[in-house]
Amino acid sequence: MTLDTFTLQSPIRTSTKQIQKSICIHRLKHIWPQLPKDIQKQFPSTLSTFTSIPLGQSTRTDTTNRFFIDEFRIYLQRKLRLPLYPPPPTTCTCGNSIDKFGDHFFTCKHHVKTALHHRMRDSMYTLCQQIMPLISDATKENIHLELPNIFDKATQLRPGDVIIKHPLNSTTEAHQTTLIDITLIAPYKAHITDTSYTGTAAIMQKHHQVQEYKKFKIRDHPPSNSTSEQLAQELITKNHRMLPFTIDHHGMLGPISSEFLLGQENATFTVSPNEYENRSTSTEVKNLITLSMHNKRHKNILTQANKAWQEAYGSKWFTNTHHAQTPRQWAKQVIGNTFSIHSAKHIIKALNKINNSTITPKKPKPMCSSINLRTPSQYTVQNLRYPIHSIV
Amino acid sequence: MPKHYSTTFTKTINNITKHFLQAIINADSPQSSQPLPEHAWYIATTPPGLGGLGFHDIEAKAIRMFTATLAQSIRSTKFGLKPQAINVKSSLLQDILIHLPTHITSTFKSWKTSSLHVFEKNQTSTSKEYPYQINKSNNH
Repeated sequence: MTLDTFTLQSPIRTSTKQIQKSICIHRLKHIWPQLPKDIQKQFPSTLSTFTSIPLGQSTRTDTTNRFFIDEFRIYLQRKLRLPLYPPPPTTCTCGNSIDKFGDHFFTCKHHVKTALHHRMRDSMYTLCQQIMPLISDATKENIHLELPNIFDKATQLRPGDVIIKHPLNSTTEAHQTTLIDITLIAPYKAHITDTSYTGTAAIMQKHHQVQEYKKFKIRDHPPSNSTSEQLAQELITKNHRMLPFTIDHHGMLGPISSEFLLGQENATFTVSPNEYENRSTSTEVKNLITLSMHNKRHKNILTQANKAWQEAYGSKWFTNTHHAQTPRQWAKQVIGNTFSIHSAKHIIKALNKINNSTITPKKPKPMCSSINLRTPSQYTVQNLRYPIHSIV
Repeated sequence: MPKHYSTTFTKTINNITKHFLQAIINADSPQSSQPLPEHAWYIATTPPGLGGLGFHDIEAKAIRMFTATLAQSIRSTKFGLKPQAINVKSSLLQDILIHLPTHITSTFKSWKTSSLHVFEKNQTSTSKEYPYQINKSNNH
């Protein structure tokens, strides 16, 4: 492209956006080597576009999109990867130390993420109810929330949080049913040797894929004497697709969920499906992965919904506010807002729990070279400023 | 090619934004008077489409805005202005362009194109042809 083409012919808006993007990349290259390791490791997750939405793109007329002041502060601190303020106590109720960014609350079993999981599940259910009928793949009645009786014997087992039953003549989906399993994954803890941004981002994606892979291995169900292999085989026989929808502590989606919502260009499969399968020891689980990764599966449902909406309604807005013109914008706002608000609530709830309890620091493991004689001391953490009323 | 444009004025505006953000985040903290760390400022000023919060870093934005307005000015002087209010669906009005007087266009008379390496390197999709070009070819 010559300067003439650039100045006289290229669309100005697109060109300036590309300039902006190249400046951003240049700035990132400039600051990256100076970042501390604990920030570098989480930086690709921090740049999740879903958590960018709540600040300026969503409507506040919907009361569910509003933050309480403490939630908003925590949301900003998390998004900008700044230490929490007021600083969290140094020791958790589990006895382990709490990091200054609050990542520990997404790992600790003493602070269950059930509420956050359920809100994400509900928002995914709402999203599917609105989007799937648009792309003519399922009616609202064919989308279910935690449906039992998926298995013949283990009737109470619910492998999917949101269940989509596809029509028999579906042109875009080879499966009879899609079982979406929402999973909030813990932060990546291992040491990262790759020092580049792209290398770190690839490791994050791999971390997601490992968690996705784990979800294909359905646990044994002793009450019905069903083994993991039997359950996997039953899903294959019934032509059910497992879709592990992973979200990390900064709102970054895994490759399978990104592909499902936003398309292949937004999904980085670091580990190929073939490699995936080789890791499994069970043939049934291998086959379940092959079935779930069948070429004829839903990809990029939000763009498809945009096209369908435009064909049906032209330039009519999808919502009654000026914040979401298309189904894609609306859906991203639903996920982004739900995650941001409820992850902040999760941290506040955890801090309040620690605040109201007496903590026993975990006894450090004895070193190989010497016996550790320190005794755990009892102490109470000083009162924090997180008011109870901000927890819903 | 410079990546940002910095003056005392631009620095002051950016500092105001930084202090504002710092005040919201750590209102009662002893660190509230300190500037934001570099990575936090980066996330805050990255566009939402790239995962940031979309605050304006006018030092980084200056090049982009200068390029956009300069390109628009050159186009207007070369091809004329297309009135925005006119209904473009009407074929009679579609080709209307208001040509600017010479004393305005003379500023860009010495405009010359360039085939510098930097422009060849950054190949971009120009699928949407500039409408004035289409109009021009239609006239022929």
